[in-house]
Amino acid sequence: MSGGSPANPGAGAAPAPCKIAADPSGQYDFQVRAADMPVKVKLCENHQGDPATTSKFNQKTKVLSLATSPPTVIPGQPTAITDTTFSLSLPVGAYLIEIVLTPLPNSVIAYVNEDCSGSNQLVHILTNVGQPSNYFTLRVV
Amino acid sequence: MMRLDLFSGRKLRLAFSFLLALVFVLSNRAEAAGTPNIPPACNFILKQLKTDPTFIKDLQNLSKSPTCFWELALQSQRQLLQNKLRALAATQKSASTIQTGAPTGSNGTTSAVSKPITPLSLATEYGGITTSTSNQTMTLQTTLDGIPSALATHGIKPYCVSAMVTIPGCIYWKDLEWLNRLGVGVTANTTSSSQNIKGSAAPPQGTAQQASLTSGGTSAPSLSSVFAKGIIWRGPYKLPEKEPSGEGVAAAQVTLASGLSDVPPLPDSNHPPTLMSLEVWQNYQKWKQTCVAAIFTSERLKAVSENEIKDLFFRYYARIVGVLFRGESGECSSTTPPPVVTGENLSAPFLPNDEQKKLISAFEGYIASASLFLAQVGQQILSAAAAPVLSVEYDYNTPVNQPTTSTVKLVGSKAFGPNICTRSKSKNGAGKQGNNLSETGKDPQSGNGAASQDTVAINRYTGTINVGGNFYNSAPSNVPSAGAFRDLQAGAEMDVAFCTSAVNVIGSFLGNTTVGLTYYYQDQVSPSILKVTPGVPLPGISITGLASSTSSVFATKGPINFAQLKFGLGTGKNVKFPIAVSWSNRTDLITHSLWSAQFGVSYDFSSLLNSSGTTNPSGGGKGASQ
Repeated sequence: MSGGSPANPGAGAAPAPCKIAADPSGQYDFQVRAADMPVKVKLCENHQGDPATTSKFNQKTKVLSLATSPPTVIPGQPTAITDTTFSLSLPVGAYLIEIVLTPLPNSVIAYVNEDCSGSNQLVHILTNVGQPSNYFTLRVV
Repeated sequence: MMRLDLFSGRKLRLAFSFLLALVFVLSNRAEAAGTPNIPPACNFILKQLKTDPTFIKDLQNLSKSPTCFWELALQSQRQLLQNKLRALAATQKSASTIQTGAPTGSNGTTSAVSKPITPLSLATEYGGITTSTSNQTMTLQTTLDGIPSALATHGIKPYCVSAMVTIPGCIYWKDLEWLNRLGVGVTANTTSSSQNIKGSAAPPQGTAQQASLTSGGTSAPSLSSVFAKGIIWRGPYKLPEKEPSGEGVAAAQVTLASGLSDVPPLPDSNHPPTLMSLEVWQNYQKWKQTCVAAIFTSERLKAVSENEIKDLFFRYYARIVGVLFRGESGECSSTTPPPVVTGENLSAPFLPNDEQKKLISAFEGYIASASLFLAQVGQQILSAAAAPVLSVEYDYNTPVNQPTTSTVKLVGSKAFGPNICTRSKSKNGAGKQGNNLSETGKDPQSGNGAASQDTVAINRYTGTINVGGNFYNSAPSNVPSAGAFRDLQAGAEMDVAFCTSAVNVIGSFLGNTTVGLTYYYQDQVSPSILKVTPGVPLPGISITGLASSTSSVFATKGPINFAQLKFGLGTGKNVKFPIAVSWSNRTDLITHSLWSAQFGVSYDFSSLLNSSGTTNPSGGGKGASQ
């Protein structure tokens, strides 16, 4: 992935440092600072972070606000959704990121990672047991 | 006598062996009935958990592993899933948002070159490539997976959501894939000239003569050909450019996550979970911690045998059924192992109360949505045109007034080059991403059903080649120099696609276009033969000087070179209009060159029945104008 600095994003730039961390309160899966938005998410084929080849993001991937019960959809999120990447640009709050994949029949597990210099797994999706979707919760502080 | 003894001894040994085998089988069955296996989806999660501790979240949170819980507690109640599938199908039908027709591939044409994939389509044609006379024909063709695929994508039959998870009575991907490799079709001759009229004339009245005429044959369309295609090799399947919507799956999982309070905010007495009481939820939390997180650690799973994991599963994990449906405590003692959960205690109640009904419905909703969605994804993958295909085709031809023939062809096709027309437009309007779920997490337009994006992507180029031979079904014995082998034939077609649908409103209506160039060669080993009956004229053919005893007329044989330039309208649409102009050095009967123009129309029914194989719908009409 091309990370780069905000001043010089694009191909050839060094991967960005990871911004999403485990939520220290334990109430949510992850936490990220609002100042670090946007964060980019990528779909991987395996633990090693290779780009996905047997599945892709379905266009119906959603971001929902957990401030309401039941959760409500955040319009316009995620942004820049492609087959293997999307971005999140969210204000302070608590969110559920519901991810749906379009898998090939030979897909086994897809890994959704933060697109950063490290290996930051956010969620995995068990496509070979008939579950083409999964979610994670994210607190933006 | 000795032989008899030996024979009797052998029979006794055989009988004894059979009895032993029977006892062994029955004892195994009894054992299997007493100790069920871990449901495949749960077993898969446990296997992953051995090496990746993050999978504990899937085991703990039922909304993250709905298939595992469904297999454990709900799979036996097959009628619930059928009801849910039918409800989703009804929602889909009224929403009219599902779109499954594949847009890719070259234009729909029969021309001189066969395409390897058979769509569910109806085409009308007029003319002929190498024939000297023209006929109107109607062709109906389909792949064999059409009907079962339609049943699955419409929710009438469940689709097996994975190879390892069994839904009773479900349709498997592997079965659909094999059926998709086989295509059949029939061509009927609908032109009026295919029927005969006969009669007798009254005495002449001057230069005029009255005749009494009746139809000489059937008024129903006559069969022109029956054909079958089988794909013998297919390249790797690719992810579909045009994907069905996962809206229903997303909504169903959000309903589970929120309703089970697997995600914040924490419920309280004023805001209990929507799918269970607060008391049951509290027991569910205890189960998560004491029966799952404390027991199913990666270290422990790595250290114990498969049988011990099975014991842990039915002793600890399976307690969730009692927690949710029988008010049992979710507390697992760290010192005293709880009893193994067996028999009816592993199933949801057959007569659940209202609260339990909501919970069961939420899980069934996810499984049904995933079943529909994955069936539609599978259908799209099968109909994708990008993969190279090699198929064999057999045609049984019954041309008018000619001997029947058989054609065997090897057909290869490959789409290549850059993807064009890769725009994506949501049915709900561009730029409204992520805004299709209402407050309840359901799609206001399509409910739980699968909507779709109007996404179009086709390869720039498609190449197709044919090699085959044509045989007389019975060797014509009364024709000099004629044998059973009629001709050797080969053809090649190259199509170039243009993204005209994005140009303007008219372009959007007509779809994308293709320009194709075809070359076809036929080397006639045996001459073409016409069957004649004295006194009965051949439709469109007039031959003078025939002897009254003549029953067959044969033409001069020779090689046929045929070239065609074709303009295809409607690529990516259900209705296609190929227009072509062609030249050949001769036809089967006439030995001089001629120009002709062709026009046709075909309708691809894939979007109606979700059939697959919409790559190259046949439909090149051939209007001859010699």
